[in-house]
This record gives sequence, C-alpha cells and structure tokens, in this order.
Amino acid sequence: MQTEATEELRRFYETHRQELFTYALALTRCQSGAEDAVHTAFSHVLERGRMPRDLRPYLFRCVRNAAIDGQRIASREQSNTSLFNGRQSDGVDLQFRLEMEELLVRLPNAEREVIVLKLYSGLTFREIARVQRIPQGTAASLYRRGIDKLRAGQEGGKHGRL
Amino acid sequence: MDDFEERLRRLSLEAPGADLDRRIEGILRNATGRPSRPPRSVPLWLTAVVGIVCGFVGAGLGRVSLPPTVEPAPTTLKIETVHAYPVPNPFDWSGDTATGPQGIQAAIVTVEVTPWPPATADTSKEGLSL
Repeated sequence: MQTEATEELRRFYETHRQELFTYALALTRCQSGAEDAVHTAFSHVLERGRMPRDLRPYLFRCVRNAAIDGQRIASREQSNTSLFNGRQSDGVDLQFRLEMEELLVRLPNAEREVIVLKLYSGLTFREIARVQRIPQGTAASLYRRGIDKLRAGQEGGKHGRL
Repeated sequence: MDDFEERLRRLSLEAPGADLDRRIEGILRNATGRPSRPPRSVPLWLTAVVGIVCGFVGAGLGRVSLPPTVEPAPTTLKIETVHAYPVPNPFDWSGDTATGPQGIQAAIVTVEVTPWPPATADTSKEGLSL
C-alpha cells in the first residue's frame, strides 16, 4: 500500500480509535476481543492494497465482521466488560451509568448496536445502514425503539420492562 | 437529540489499551516498508472495450460462416417388426379355424431423414406423417 494511503489510515485510527473500540466492545463485551477486532479490521484494509471509497463505514463493517468471526472461532468466555468507564463517574452519573449498563445489556443486539453506532461512534443513519446492511429507515426505527426502551427502563427503575 | 440521549452520550467510555495502539502502529509501519504493487499497465476500461469488440467480431464471424459444400448422405432409419404367432396344425380342421393357418407376419418401416442443411422450402409447419 502506498505511503499516502497508510498515512490516511493512521490518521483515521488516531481520530476514531475510541469509536471503533467502543463499537467492537459492544459486540464482543470483552476487552481483548474488541482490540483483536479493531486490529483485524485494519489488517484487512492494509492487505486489500487499496483504500475503500468510503473508509468510515467500511472500517466499521470490518470491525463488525471481525468481532463476530472472533467470537465464533474463539468462543471466548463472557467477560461482560462494560462500555462505560466507571472510574470517572461522579455520584449522580454513577447511578445512571449502572442503570444504563444493565438496560443496554438487556436490549436486543440490533438495537444496542445501532445505539452505540449513533451515540458513541457518531455515524449517520445512512452510514449505520451501510455497516449493518439494512435499510436506512430500519436503522432509524431500531435506534428509536432502543432509546424508548432505555428511557422506559430508567423511568421504571429496576422493575422497568424492556 | 433530547436530554436523555445527550446524557447517555456523555457517559465516559472504556478506552482501548496501549497495546492496541502498538499493534496498529506495527502493522502500519510494516505496510509502509512493504513494496507496493506496481500500477496496472493496461487500464481497466481499455480491457473492457477490447473484450466487447472481440465479442462482436466473434459473433459476426459465426454468422457469416459458410455451410458445408459436400452434401452428406441421407440418413435412413429402418424399423423391422416381426410378429410371430404359433403355427396351428395345418391338418387339424376340427376347430373353428375357418381362416386357415396363419404364418409369420413381418413389417419393415423405412424413414428417410432429410440431412442438414434443410431444404429451402419451409417445412417447419408441416407435421411428420408416416
């Protein structure tokens, strides 16, 4: 791969490493599995030899494939690593964070995935649709349904039903 | 994005470890040092155009190809059917055999098939009748 392309990939990683990792973590729920998925995705783009036309959805798609393949092959133990960093939470946020952690885990995979891609990776619904290979309207409705469930769960406290 | 979504978005996220940074940096450095593949000598569009032209030329040559000059011999199909009945006793007139004894019956059907190329007259609508 040419130097300019490699540099573009390096810049992309430096800018989006947190977003890619969070998405991978939401899929694998395992720190090492998420790091493996991001590494595999970048390796794939480098082996491809040329840059994809739209790098961002392409790399997120690669991370998704790598995370799913990694889980299938390694059958890692469920470590249930949280998406959120508990060390930086104050008292108010701590309660909210714990509730959200619990509620996010109970969401269907598709809804959780869309919420993470939208809120924490900053993808548009169009890009999410390309990553998940679903219609754009479906991505939007999955997001809305997931958010409504989280809100209802939070308002209902621990007895909130999803 | 409403307040709830904004609050959810602001939660601090688990960060990737330094190990991931090292691994990504490693593969990027290797990719830079690796010799890149030479650029394609023949453009893709030219390859496609040549392929299409060759297709047209091939189809045209196939259409103008001449029929065979030597006419092959007509194909003849012969079907022989033999019905053999038991020969009754020619001296036995006691039964109801007024027609007399029967012998061996044989039928030979000969079909001539027109060879390729077909005749100029349009016979496609005519049914095959024996």
